Amino acid sequence: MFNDPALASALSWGLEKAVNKTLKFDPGSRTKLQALSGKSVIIELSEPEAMIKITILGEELSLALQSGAERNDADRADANIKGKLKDLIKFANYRSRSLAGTGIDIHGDLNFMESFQNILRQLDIDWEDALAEKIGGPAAHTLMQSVQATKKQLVNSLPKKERLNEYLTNEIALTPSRAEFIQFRAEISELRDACDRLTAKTSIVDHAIKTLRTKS
Amino acid sequence: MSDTEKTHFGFEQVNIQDKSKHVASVFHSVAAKYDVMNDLMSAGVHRLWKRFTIESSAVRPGYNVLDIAGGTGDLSAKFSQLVGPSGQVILADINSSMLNVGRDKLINRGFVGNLHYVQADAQQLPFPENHFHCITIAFGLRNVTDKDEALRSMYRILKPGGRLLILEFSKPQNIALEKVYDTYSFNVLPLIGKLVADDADSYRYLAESIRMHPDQETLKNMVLNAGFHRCQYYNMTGGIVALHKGIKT
Repeated sequence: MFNDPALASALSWGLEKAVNKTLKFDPGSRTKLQALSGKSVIIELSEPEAMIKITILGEELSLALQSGAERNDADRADANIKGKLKDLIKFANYRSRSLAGTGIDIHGDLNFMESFQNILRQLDIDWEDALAEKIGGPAAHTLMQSVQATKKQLVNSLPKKERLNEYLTNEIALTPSRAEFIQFRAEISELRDACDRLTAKTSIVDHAIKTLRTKS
Repeated sequence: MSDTEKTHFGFEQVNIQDKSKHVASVFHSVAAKYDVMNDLMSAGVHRLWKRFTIESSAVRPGYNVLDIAGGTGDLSAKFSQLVGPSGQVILADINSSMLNVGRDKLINRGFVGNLHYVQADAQQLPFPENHFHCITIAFGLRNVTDKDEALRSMYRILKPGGRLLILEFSKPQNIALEKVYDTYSFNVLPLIGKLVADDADSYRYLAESIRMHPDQETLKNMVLNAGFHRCQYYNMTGGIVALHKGIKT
Protein backbone atom coordinates (compact mmCIF):
# COMPACT_ATOMS: atom_id res chain seq x y z
CA MET A 1 0.00 0.00 0.00
CA PHE A 2 2.79 2.45 0.88
CA ASN A 3 6.30 2.32 -0.54
CA ASP A 4 7.62 4.69 2.07
CA PRO A 5 6.82 3.53 5.62
CA ALA A 6 6.99 7.15 6.76
CA LEU A 7 3.86 7.85 4.69
CA ALA A 8 1.97 5.06 6.43
CA SER A 9 3.14 6.49 9.74
CA ALA A 10 1.91 9.94 8.73
CA LEU A 11 -1.53 8.55 7.88
CA SER A 12 -1.81 6.52 11.08
CA TRP A 13 -0.70 9.54 13.09
CA GLY A 14 -3.40 11.69 11.51
CA LEU A 15 -6.07 9.06 12.09
CA GLU A 16 -4.93 8.53 15.66
CA LYS A 17 -5.10 12.23 16.46
CA ALA A 18 -8.58 12.49 14.93
CA VAL A 19 -9.87 9.44 16.81
CA ASN A 20 -8.47 10.53 20.17
CA LYS A 21 -9.67 14.08 19.72
CA THR A 22 -13.17 12.73 19.10
CA LEU A 23 -12.96 10.35 22.04
CA LYS A 24 -12.26 13.32 24.28
CA PHE A 25 -15.95 14.13 23.98
CA ASP A 26 -17.13 10.82 25.37
CA PRO A 27 -15.63 10.57 28.86
CA GLY A 28 -17.66 7.46 29.61
CA SER A 29 -16.05 5.47 26.82
CA ARG A 30 -12.62 6.75 27.77
CA THR A 31 -13.07 5.39 31.29
CA LYS A 32 -14.12 2.01 29.91
CA LEU A 33 -11.06 1.96 27.63
CA GLN A 34 -8.80 2.47 30.65
CA ALA A 35 -9.88 -0.97 31.89
CA LEU A 36 -8.51 -2.49 28.67
CA SER A 37 -5.25 -0.52 28.68
CA GLY A 38 -2.32 -2.44 27.22
CA LYS A 39 -4.51 -4.67 25.04
CA SER A 40 -4.18 -4.65 21.27
CA VAL A 41 -5.95 -5.98 18.21
CA ILE A 42 -4.66 -6.45 14.65
CA ILE A 43 -7.23 -6.01 11.88
CA GLU A 44 -6.30 -7.58 8.54
CA LEU A 45 -8.52 -6.29 5.76
CA SER A 46 -8.78 -8.03 2.41
CA GLU A 47 -10.92 -5.57 0.42
CA PRO A 48 -9.16 -3.15 0.41
CA GLU A 49 -5.89 -4.76 1.53
CA ALA A 50 -4.56 -3.19 4.68
CA MET A 51 -3.45 -4.09 8.14
CA ILE A 52 -3.99 -1.90 11.16
CA LYS A 53 -2.96 -2.44 14.75
CA ILE A 54 -4.98 -0.76 17.48
CA THR A 55 -3.44 -0.56 20.95
CA ILE A 56 -5.30 0.82 23.94
CA LEU A 57 -3.02 3.06 25.99
CA GLY A 58 -4.80 4.41 29.01
CA GLU A 59 -7.84 6.29 27.76
CA GLU A 60 -6.58 6.66 24.22
CA LEU A 61 -6.02 4.53 21.16
CA SER A 62 -2.71 4.10 19.37
CA LEU A 63 -2.98 3.21 15.68
CA ALA A 64 -0.36 1.70 13.40
CA LEU A 65 -0.85 1.03 9.69
CA GLN A 66 1.34 -1.89 8.76
CA SER A 67 2.84 -2.05 5.30
CA GLY A 68 3.25 -5.14 3.18
CA ALA A 69 6.80 -5.45 4.44
CA GLU A 70 5.57 -5.97 7.96
CA ARG A 71 2.91 -8.54 7.27
CA ASN A 72 5.09 -11.56 7.78
CA ASP A 73 6.42 -10.15 11.00
CA ALA A 74 5.83 -12.04 14.20
CA ASP A 75 3.85 -9.13 15.56
CA ARG A 76 1.47 -10.25 18.24
CA ALA A 77 -1.73 -8.84 19.59
CA ASP A 78 -4.35 -9.98 22.07
CA ALA A 79 -6.77 -10.57 19.22
CA ASN A 80 -6.72 -10.79 15.43
CA ILE A 81 -9.57 -10.00 13.06
CA LYS A 82 -9.58 -10.88 9.35
CA GLY A 83 -12.19 -9.94 6.81
CA LYS A 84 -13.46 -7.52 4.18
CA LEU A 85 -14.04 -3.94 5.25
CA LYS A 86 -17.74 -3.98 4.33
CA ASP A 87 -18.30 -7.17 6.34
CA LEU A 88 -16.55 -5.69 9.35
CA ILE A 89 -18.66 -2.54 9.24
CA LYS A 90 -21.82 -4.65 8.97
CA PHE A 91 -20.78 -6.85 11.90
CA ALA A 92 -19.82 -3.87 14.03
CA ASN A 93 -23.37 -2.53 13.72
CA TYR A 94 -25.09 -5.89 14.01
CA ARG A 95 -26.19 -6.86 17.48
CA SER A 96 -25.80 -10.62 17.10
CA ARG A 97 -22.81 -12.33 18.69
CA SER A 98 -22.63 -15.04 16.03
CA LEU A 99 -19.87 -14.82 13.46
CA ALA A 100 -21.44 -17.52 11.32
CA GLY A 101 -21.89 -16.40 7.73
CA THR A 102 -20.32 -12.98 8.30
CA GLY A 103 -17.09 -13.75 6.43
CA ILE A 104 -15.11 -12.53 9.45
CA ASP A 105 -12.53 -14.55 11.31
CA ILE A 106 -11.64 -13.58 14.89
CA HIS A 107 -9.18 -15.36 17.11
CA GLY A 108 -7.42 -14.55 20.36
CA ASP A 109 -8.89 -13.07 23.50
CA LEU A 110 -12.62 -13.06 22.70
CA ASN A 111 -13.58 -11.52 26.04
CA PHE A 112 -11.40 -8.53 25.23
CA MET A 113 -12.92 -8.27 21.73
CA GLU A 114 -16.45 -8.37 23.11
CA SER A 115 -15.65 -5.63 25.64
CA PHE A 116 -13.99 -3.51 22.95
CA GLN A 117 -16.88 -4.01 20.53
CA ASN A 118 -19.37 -2.96 23.22
CA ILE A 119 -17.41 0.20 23.90
CA LEU A 120 -17.45 1.08 20.19
CA ARG A 121 -21.18 0.37 19.89
CA GLN A 122 -21.98 2.48 22.92
CA LEU A 123 -19.92 5.47 21.84
CA ASP A 124 -21.78 8.62 22.72
CA ILE A 125 -19.80 11.56 21.37
CA ASP A 126 -20.97 14.92 22.58
CA TRP A 127 -20.83 16.60 19.16
CA GLU A 128 -22.27 19.83 20.53
CA ASP A 129 -19.38 20.08 22.97
CA ALA A 130 -16.91 19.33 20.18
CA LEU A 131 -18.39 22.02 17.97
CA ALA A 132 -18.52 24.49 20.84
CA GLU A 133 -14.72 24.38 21.03
CA LYS A 134 -14.57 25.66 17.47
CA ILE A 135 -17.58 27.97 17.07
CA GLY A 136 -18.71 28.77 20.58
CA GLY A 137 -21.45 27.35 22.82
CA PRO A 138 -24.61 29.18 21.61
CA ALA A 139 -23.75 28.69 17.91
CA ALA A 140 -22.99 25.02 18.46
CA HIS A 141 -26.26 24.51 20.32
CA THR A 142 -28.28 26.20 17.56
CA LEU A 143 -26.51 24.21 14.86
CA MET A 144 -27.03 20.89 16.62
CA GLN A 145 -30.72 21.66 17.15
CA SER A 146 -31.09 22.31 13.41
CA VAL A 147 -29.27 19.09 12.57
CA GLN A 148 -31.49 17.07 14.94
CA ALA A 149 -34.64 18.65 13.52
CA THR A 150 -33.57 17.98 9.92
CA LYS A 151 -32.68 14.41 10.78
CA LYS A 152 -36.09 13.85 12.37
CA GLN A 153 -37.85 15.32 9.34
CA LEU A 154 -35.91 13.11 6.94
CA VAL A 155 -36.67 9.98 8.94
CA ASN A 156 -40.38 10.81 9.04
CA SER A 157 -40.63 11.68 5.35
CA LEU A 158 -39.00 8.48 4.15
CA PRO A 159 -41.58 5.83 3.23
CA LYS A 160 -42.04 2.78 5.46
CA LYS A 161 -40.57 -0.41 4.05
CA GLU A 162 -44.03 -1.84 3.22
CA ARG A 163 -44.94 1.15 1.09
CA LEU A 164 -41.49 1.43 -0.50
CA ASN A 165 -42.46 -0.52 -3.57
CA GLU A 166 -45.51 1.65 -4.18
CA TYR A 167 -43.43 4.78 -3.57
CA LEU A 168 -40.71 3.83 -6.05
CA THR A 169 -43.19 2.88 -8.78
CA ASN A 170 -46.07 5.32 -8.47
CA GLU A 171 -44.61 8.31 -6.63
CA ILE A 172 -41.22 8.80 -8.25
CA ALA A 173 -41.54 6.44 -11.26
CA LEU A 174 -38.08 5.03 -10.59
CA THR A 175 -39.13 1.46 -11.37
CA PRO A 176 -41.77 0.09 -13.86
CA SER A 177 -45.03 -1.46 -12.69
CA ARG A 178 -45.53 -5.24 -12.86
CA ALA A 179 -47.82 -5.00 -15.90
CA GLU A 180 -45.31 -2.82 -17.74
CA PHE A 181 -42.50 -5.24 -16.94
CA ILE A 182 -44.50 -8.29 -18.19
CA GLN A 183 -45.39 -6.45 -21.42
CA PHE A 184 -41.72 -5.51 -21.94
CA ARG A 185 -40.58 -9.09 -21.32
CA ALA A 186 -43.09 -10.41 -23.91
CA GLU A 187 -41.85 -7.92 -26.50
CA ILE A 188 -38.24 -8.99 -25.90
CA SER A 189 -39.24 -12.63 -26.35
CA GLU A 190 -41.00 -11.81 -29.67
CA LEU A 191 -37.94 -9.93 -30.87
CA ARG A 192 -35.72 -12.89 -30.00
CA ASP A 193 -37.96 -15.25 -32.01
CA ALA A 194 -37.90 -12.87 -35.00
CA CYS A 195 -34.09 -12.79 -34.87
CA ASP A 196 -33.96 -16.60 -34.81
CA ARG A 197 -36.25 -16.80 -37.89
CA LEU A 198 -34.12 -14.25 -39.74
CA THR A 199 -30.93 -16.15 -38.90
CA ALA A 200 -32.46 -19.39 -40.22
CA LYS A 201 -33.60 -17.72 -43.52
CA THR A 202 -30.17 -16.13 -43.98
CA SER A 203 -28.40 -19.45 -43.60
CA ILE A 204 -30.74 -21.05 -46.22
CA VAL A 205 -29.87 -18.30 -48.74
CA ASP A 206 -26.20 -18.62 -47.87
CA HIS A 207 -26.30 -22.37 -48.49
CA ALA A 208 -28.08 -21.85 -51.83
CA ILE A 209 -25.40 -19.37 -53.01
CA LYS A 210 -22.60 -21.79 -52.08
CA THR A 211 -24.32 -24.63 -53.98
CA LEU A 212 -24.67 -22.45 -57.13
CA ARG A 213 -20.98 -21.47 -57.00
CA THR A 214 -19.93 -25.08 -56.63
CA LYS A 215 -21.99 -26.14 -59.69
CA SER A 216 -20.60 -23.33 -61.84
CA MET B 1 44.96 -0.85 19.00
CA SER B 2 47.92 1.48 18.53
CA ASP B 3 48.01 5.06 19.80
CA THR B 4 48.34 6.41 16.29
CA GLU B 5 45.48 4.39 14.72
CA LYS B 6 43.09 6.77 13.04
CA THR B 7 39.36 6.90 12.45
CA HIS B 8 37.01 9.41 10.92
CA PHE B 9 35.32 12.26 12.76
CA GLY B 10 33.16 13.55 9.96
CA PHE B 11 35.58 14.15 7.09
CA GLU B 12 38.45 14.68 9.50
CA GLN B 13 40.83 11.92 10.56
CA VAL B 14 41.44 11.70 14.34
CA ASN B 15 43.07 9.23 16.71
CA ILE B 16 40.69 6.44 17.64
CA GLN B 17 40.94 7.22 21.35
CA ASP B 18 40.00 10.84 20.69
CA LYS B 19 36.88 10.26 18.60
CA SER B 20 34.56 9.77 21.56
CA LYS B 21 35.83 13.02 23.13
CA HIS B 22 35.12 14.91 19.90
CA VAL B 23 31.64 13.40 19.66
CA ALA B 24 31.00 14.18 23.33
CA SER B 25 31.93 17.78 22.73
CA VAL B 26 29.44 18.02 19.85
CA PHE B 27 26.57 16.63 21.89
CA HIS B 28 27.33 18.69 24.98
CA SER B 29 27.03 21.67 22.69
CA VAL B 30 23.78 20.68 20.96
CA ALA B 31 21.91 19.06 23.88
CA ALA B 32 19.90 22.10 24.95
CA LYS B 33 18.55 22.81 21.46
CA TYR B 34 18.52 19.21 20.18
CA ASP B 35 14.74 18.81 19.85
CA VAL B 36 14.08 22.13 18.18
CA MET B 37 16.98 21.57 15.78
CA ASN B 38 15.65 18.12 14.84
CA ASP B 39 12.30 19.66 13.98
CA LEU B 40 13.89 22.46 11.98
CA MET B 41 16.36 20.32 10.07
CA SER B 42 13.89 17.62 9.09
CA ALA B 43 10.73 19.78 8.95
CA GLY B 44 9.28 17.51 11.58
CA VAL B 45 9.70 14.36 9.47
CA HIS B 46 12.00 12.81 12.09
CA ARG B 47 8.83 12.18 14.14
CA LEU B 48 7.49 9.93 11.37
CA TRP B 49 10.77 8.03 11.13
CA LYS B 50 10.68 7.45 14.89
CA ARG B 51 7.00 6.54 14.81
CA PHE B 52 7.73 3.81 12.25
CA THR B 53 10.52 2.57 14.50
CA ILE B 54 8.09 2.26 17.40
CA GLU B 55 5.55 0.51 15.17
CA SER B 56 8.24 -1.98 14.09
CA SER B 57 9.25 -2.79 17.64
CA ALA B 58 6.23 -5.02 18.49
CA VAL B 59 6.78 -3.97 22.12
CA ARG B 60 4.06 -5.19 24.48
CA PRO B 61 3.17 -4.81 28.17
CA GLY B 62 5.78 -6.33 30.45
CA TYR B 63 8.69 -6.03 27.99
CA ASN B 64 12.21 -4.82 28.82
CA VAL B 65 13.38 -2.21 26.33
CA LEU B 66 16.74 -0.50 25.96
CA ASP B 67 16.90 2.79 24.09
CA ILE B 68 20.59 3.43 23.31
CA ALA B 69 21.75 6.94 22.47
CA GLY B 70 18.21 7.75 23.55
CA GLY B 71 19.16 11.36 24.00
CA THR B 72 16.14 13.48 24.70
CA GLY B 73 13.81 10.53 25.06
CA ASP B 74 11.46 10.59 22.07
CA LEU B 75 11.39 6.83 21.73
CA SER B 76 11.61 6.06 25.44
CA ALA B 77 8.46 8.07 26.18
CA LYS B 78 6.38 5.94 23.84
CA PHE B 79 8.00 2.71 24.99
CA SER B 80 7.17 3.63 28.57
CA GLN B 81 3.48 3.75 27.62
CA LEU B 82 3.65 0.49 25.68
CA VAL B 83 5.42 -1.66 28.28
CA GLY B 84 3.16 -0.47 31.07
CA PRO B 85 3.82 -0.76 34.81
CA SER B 86 5.01 -4.38 34.51
CA GLY B 87 7.69 -3.51 31.92
CA GLN B 88 10.87 -1.53 32.02
CA VAL B 89 12.51 1.03 29.72
CA ILE B 90 16.14 2.05 30.07
CA LEU B 91 17.26 5.22 28.36
CA ALA B 92 21.01 4.94 27.89
CA ASP B 93 23.33 7.58 26.51
CA ILE B 94 27.08 8.09 26.73
CA ASN B 95 26.62 11.85 26.93
CA SER B 96 25.60 13.23 30.32
CA SER B 97 24.20 16.49 28.88
CA MET B 98 21.86 14.65 26.53
CA LEU B 99 20.86 12.26 29.31
CA ASN B 100 20.06 15.12 31.67
CA VAL B 101 17.94 16.90 29.07
CA GLY B 102 16.11 13.65 28.32
CA ARG B 103 15.52 12.80 31.95
CA ASP B 104 14.21 16.28 32.81
CA LYS B 105 11.94 16.30 29.78
CA LEU B 106 10.43 12.89 30.50
CA ILE B 107 9.93 13.51 34.21
CA ASN B 108 8.23 16.83 33.40
CA ARG B 109 5.89 14.97 31.06
CA GLY B 110 5.01 12.51 33.82
CA PHE B 111 6.94 9.48 32.59
CA VAL B 112 8.07 7.95 35.86
CA GLY B 113 7.97 4.52 37.41
CA ASN B 114 9.07 2.24 34.58
CA LEU B 115 11.74 4.52 33.06
CA HIS B 116 15.37 4.40 34.18
CA TYR B 117 18.43 6.31 33.03
CA VAL B 118 21.94 4.96 32.53
CA GLN B 119 25.06 6.66 31.23
CA ALA B 120 26.66 3.93 29.15
CA ASP B 121 28.93 3.30 26.18
CA ALA B 122 27.21 1.39 23.36
CA GLN B 123 30.43 -0.58 22.83
CA GLN B 124 30.37 -1.95 26.37
CA LEU B 125 26.79 -2.16 27.51
CA PRO B 126 26.62 -2.88 31.27
CA PHE B 127 23.62 -5.21 31.26
CA PRO B 128 23.20 -8.94 31.74
CA GLU B 129 23.04 -11.13 28.67
CA ASN B 130 19.69 -12.18 27.17
CA HIS B 131 17.91 -9.44 29.08
CA PHE B 132 16.05 -7.16 26.65
CA HIS B 133 13.10 -7.91 24.35
CA CYS B 134 13.94 -4.93 22.19
CA ILE B 135 16.89 -2.57 21.71
CA THR B 136 16.70 0.62 19.71
CA ILE B 137 19.38 3.06 18.66
CA ALA B 138 18.13 6.10 16.78
CA PHE B 139 20.63 8.40 15.06
CA GLY B 140 23.36 7.22 17.40
CA LEU B 141 25.22 4.37 15.71
CA ARG B 142 27.06 6.63 13.27
CA ASN B 143 28.71 8.37 16.25
CA VAL B 144 30.05 5.13 17.73
CA THR B 145 33.80 4.57 17.20
CA ASP B 146 33.70 0.78 16.85
CA LYS B 147 30.31 -0.09 15.38
CA ASP B 148 31.02 -3.82 15.16
CA GLU B 149 31.85 -3.96 18.85
CA ALA B 150 28.67 -2.06 19.66
CA LEU B 151 26.57 -4.46 17.55
CA ARG B 152 28.13 -7.47 19.31
CA SER B 153 27.41 -5.86 22.67
CA MET B 154 23.78 -5.32 21.70
CA TYR B 155 23.50 -8.91 20.49
CA ARG B 156 24.77 -10.22 23.81
CA ILE B 157 22.17 -8.46 25.95
CA LEU B 158 19.21 -9.14 23.66
CA LYS B 159 16.90 -12.05 24.48
CA PRO B 160 16.61 -14.86 21.93
CA GLY B 161 13.85 -13.79 19.58
CA GLY B 162 14.45 -10.18 20.54
CA ARG B 163 14.87 -7.46 17.97
CA LEU B 164 17.39 -4.72 17.36
CA LEU B 165 16.19 -1.60 15.59
CA ILE B 166 18.76 0.78 14.12
CA LEU B 167 17.33 4.03 12.83
CA GLU B 168 20.00 6.01 11.02
CA PHE B 169 20.77 8.29 8.15
CA SER B 170 21.71 6.31 5.08
CA LYS B 171 22.31 6.57 1.34
CA PRO B 172 19.61 8.16 -0.85
CA GLN B 173 18.41 5.77 -3.52
CA ASN B 174 18.04 8.40 -6.20
CA ILE B 175 20.88 10.44 -7.73
CA ALA B 176 18.83 13.61 -8.10
CA LEU B 177 17.67 13.37 -4.50
CA GLU B 178 21.26 12.75 -3.40
CA LYS B 179 22.41 15.99 -5.04
CA VAL B 180 19.63 18.01 -3.39
CA TYR B 181 20.36 16.31 -0.08
CA ASP B 182 24.09 17.12 -0.32
CA THR B 183 23.37 20.78 -1.03
CA TYR B 184 20.95 20.91 1.89
CA SER B 185 23.30 19.10 4.28
CA PHE B 186 26.48 21.05 3.59
CA ASN B 187 25.03 24.49 2.94
CA VAL B 188 21.73 24.83 4.78
CA LEU B 189 22.25 22.74 7.91
CA PRO B 190 25.36 24.53 9.19
CA LEU B 191 23.57 27.84 8.56
CA ILE B 192 20.56 26.72 10.62
CA GLY B 193 23.00 25.52 13.29
CA LYS B 194 24.67 28.92 13.33
CA LEU B 195 21.40 30.87 13.50
CA VAL B 196 19.56 28.73 16.04
CA ALA B 197 22.24 27.11 18.17
CA ASP B 198 25.17 29.41 17.38
CA ASP B 199 27.16 26.31 16.44
CA ALA B 200 27.76 25.76 12.73
CA ASP B 201 30.62 23.30 13.32
CA SER B 202 28.53 20.72 15.16
CA TYR B 203 25.99 20.65 12.33
CA ARG B 204 28.73 20.43 9.76
CA TYR B 205 29.96 17.34 11.66
CA LEU B 206 26.40 16.00 11.47
CA ALA B 207 26.39 16.24 7.69
CA GLU B 208 29.90 14.78 7.36
CA SER B 209 29.27 11.92 9.79
CA ILE B 210 26.24 10.87 7.74
CA ARG B 211 28.41 10.60 4.60
CA MET B 212 30.93 8.41 6.48
CA HIS B 213 28.29 6.02 7.82
CA PRO B 214 27.87 2.62 6.07
CA ASP B 215 25.15 2.36 3.45
CA GLN B 216 22.10 0.12 3.76
CA GLU B 217 23.61 -3.14 2.54
CA THR B 218 26.91 -2.67 4.37
CA LEU B 219 25.15 -2.06 7.67
CA LYS B 220 22.91 -5.05 7.08
CA ASN B 221 25.99 -7.26 6.68
CA MET B 222 27.55 -5.79 9.80
CA VAL B 223 24.42 -6.69 11.77
CA LEU B 224 24.49 -10.24 10.42
CA ASN B 225 28.20 -10.56 11.20
CA ALA B 226 27.50 -9.56 14.80
CA GLY B 227 25.48 -12.77 15.10
CA PHE B 228 21.94 -11.73 14.22
CA HIS B 229 19.97 -14.38 12.39
CA ARG B 230 17.99 -12.08 10.17
CA CYS B 231 18.31 -8.47 9.15
CA GLN B 232 16.11 -6.44 6.86
CA TYR B 233 16.01 -2.74 6.24
CA TYR B 234 13.32 -0.22 5.24
CA ASN B 235 14.19 2.92 3.35
CA MET B 236 12.33 6.07 4.26
CA THR B 237 12.21 9.42 2.52
CA GLY B 238 13.98 8.07 -0.52
CA GLY B 239 16.69 6.33 1.51
CA ILE B 240 17.80 9.42 3.40
CA VAL B 241 16.97 7.39 6.49
CA ALA B 242 16.81 3.64 6.90
CA LEU B 243 15.55 1.39 9.65
CA HIS B 244 17.50 -1.86 10.06
CA LYS B 245 15.79 -4.62 11.99
CA GLY B 246 17.86 -7.54 13.28
CA ILE B 247 16.44 -10.60 15.00
CA LYS B 248 18.43 -12.73 17.45
CA THR B 249 17.63 -16.44 17.43
